[in-house]
Amino acid sequence: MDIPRRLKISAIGLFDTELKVLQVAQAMLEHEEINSELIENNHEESAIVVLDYDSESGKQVFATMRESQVKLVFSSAQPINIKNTITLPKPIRVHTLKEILTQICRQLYDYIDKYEHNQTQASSSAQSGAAGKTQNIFLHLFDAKNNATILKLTHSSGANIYVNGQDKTLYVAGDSNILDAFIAAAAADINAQVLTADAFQQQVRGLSPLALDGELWRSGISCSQGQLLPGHQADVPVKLRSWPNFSRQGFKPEFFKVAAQMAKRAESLEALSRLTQVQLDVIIDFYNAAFALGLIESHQPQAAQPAQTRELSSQRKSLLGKLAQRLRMA
Amino acid sequence: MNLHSDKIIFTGPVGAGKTSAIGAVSDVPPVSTDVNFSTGQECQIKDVTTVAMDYSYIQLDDGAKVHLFGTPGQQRFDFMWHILVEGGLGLVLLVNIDHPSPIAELNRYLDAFQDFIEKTGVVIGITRTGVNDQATLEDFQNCLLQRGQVYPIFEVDGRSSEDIKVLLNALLAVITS
Repeated sequence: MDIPRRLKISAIGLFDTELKVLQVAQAMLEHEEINSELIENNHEESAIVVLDYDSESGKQVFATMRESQVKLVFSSAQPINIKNTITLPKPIRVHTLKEILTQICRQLYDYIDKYEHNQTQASSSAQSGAAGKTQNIFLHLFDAKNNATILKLTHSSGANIYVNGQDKTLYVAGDSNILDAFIAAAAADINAQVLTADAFQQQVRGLSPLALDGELWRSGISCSQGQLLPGHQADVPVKLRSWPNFSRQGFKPEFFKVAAQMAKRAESLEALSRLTQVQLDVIIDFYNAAFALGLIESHQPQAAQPAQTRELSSQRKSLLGKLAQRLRMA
Repeated sequence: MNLHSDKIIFTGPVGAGKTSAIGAVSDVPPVSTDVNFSTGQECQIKDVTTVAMDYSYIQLDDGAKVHLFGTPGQQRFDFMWHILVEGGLGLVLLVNIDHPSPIAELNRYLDAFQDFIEKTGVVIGITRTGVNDQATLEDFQNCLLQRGQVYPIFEVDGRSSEDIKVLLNALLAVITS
C-alpha cells in the first residue's frame, strides 16, 4: 500500500486544553490511514491551520492566511463566513475534531491526486502537443504560461515572437505591429515550436522583453470571440479575486459592470449575463483574459442567496446614469 | 458653503494627486477652500477651525452638478473626512507609490472610511508610478486580498483625464452594482 502524502496541521494560539484535544485527534488520524504531522506556531507551509480566534495571536494569524489554507477556527463568537474556514464552538470534543480533520484530509488527498494528474498530463502535452496545436495567439500564450514552456510563434508572414512561460516574458522580433498581426491572425496562420532555454536565449539576444501578462490580457479580450477556455463552463460560479488594471491593460466599456458584479459574489457567467445585461460573448472575453492573469477563483455551486444591491433612490440612479453618459470613454 | 450630497470625494495622502485628478475631469479648475466651522455646524468640533480642501464639479447635460471634493491630506485635518463624505456618492482613494509607506497608507484610508465605503463604494488609484516606486501594483492587490476586499485598483496618472475617467467609471459600476 502506498504511504499517502504527509499533511501538515498547524496549531496557533490554542490554550492547553484545546491543544491536548487537537493532539489526540491528530494522533487518531493514523487509524483512518491519514499521514499527518502537527506543528506548533508555524502556519506558512501547512495545508490545515487550527487556531483559537478568541486569542490575539489566533486573530492576527487568521488575518494573514492564504485563502487556499483550510482554517479550523475555535471561537466563542459567531461563525466566520469566509471560504475554506470552519468555525467550531467551544468546548471542542476529540471525536468531533477527529471526524472533521478526517474529512478535510481525505478531500485534500483527492485534490492533490487530481492536481498531480493534471500536471503530469499538461507537462507531457506541453512537450509533444504545443508544437502541433492549431490555436489562436491567446491560447498559445495561455498554454505557455500554464505549462511554463518556451515557444517560438511564427506568423504566416514570417514574423516571429518568442514566449517564455517560465519567467513570463515575451519578445518581439520587430515592431509592436507584429503583435497586432498575431492577434488578428487566424489559428491556421500561426505555427508554434517548442524551444530549449539555450536556443531561446540565442534567438532573443538584443530584443527587449515585454510582460507576458500584458499580451495575455490583450489577446484574451480580442481573440476569445465567445469561446470559453477549454474545460471551463459557463454555468459554474466564479468570482473575481482582483480587478484587472484597466487603465494600463485596456478594456471594453461593459467590463466595468461585469467586474463590479463578479467582485461582489460568485455567479456563473450565464447568471452574470442576465444580471448585467451584457452579452455572454463579452463576458467570456473578460473571463478568459482575467482567468489567464490569475484574477478569477472558482466556487462550488452554492445555494441561491438574495443579491445584495445597494438601495439607490430613483433620483440618484438618474444622476448616476447621466454622469456615466458624461464620462463615457471614447 | 453647503456640503452637497451629489458628490464624489477624493482622498489620499499629501502629494497623491487629488487636486490634479479633480482638475483633470472637472468643468472648472478646482479651488482650495478655507472653511470656517463654528459650534452651530453639523460637525463635532468645538472650536473655530480653518481647514483647506479642494472643490470643483462636473456639470451634467440637464444642468445638475456632481460635486467633487478633495479631502485635506494632512493628518491633523482628518476629522474633516467624515464631514465631507456624509451623504456622498462614493470615494476615490489616491495613493502615491513613491510614498515611504504606501501600503500602510492604503490600509489607513480604507480603515478610516470603512463605514462610508460599505454604504457606497471606493475605487483606488495608484499614482506617480515609475519614478521612485516603494511598492508594486501586486503589493497593493495582495493587501486587498489579505483584507478580503475586492476593490477596483488601477495605476493612474492624476493629470490624465482618461485615467481619472477610468476610475470614475469603475466607481459608478461599483455603486450601481
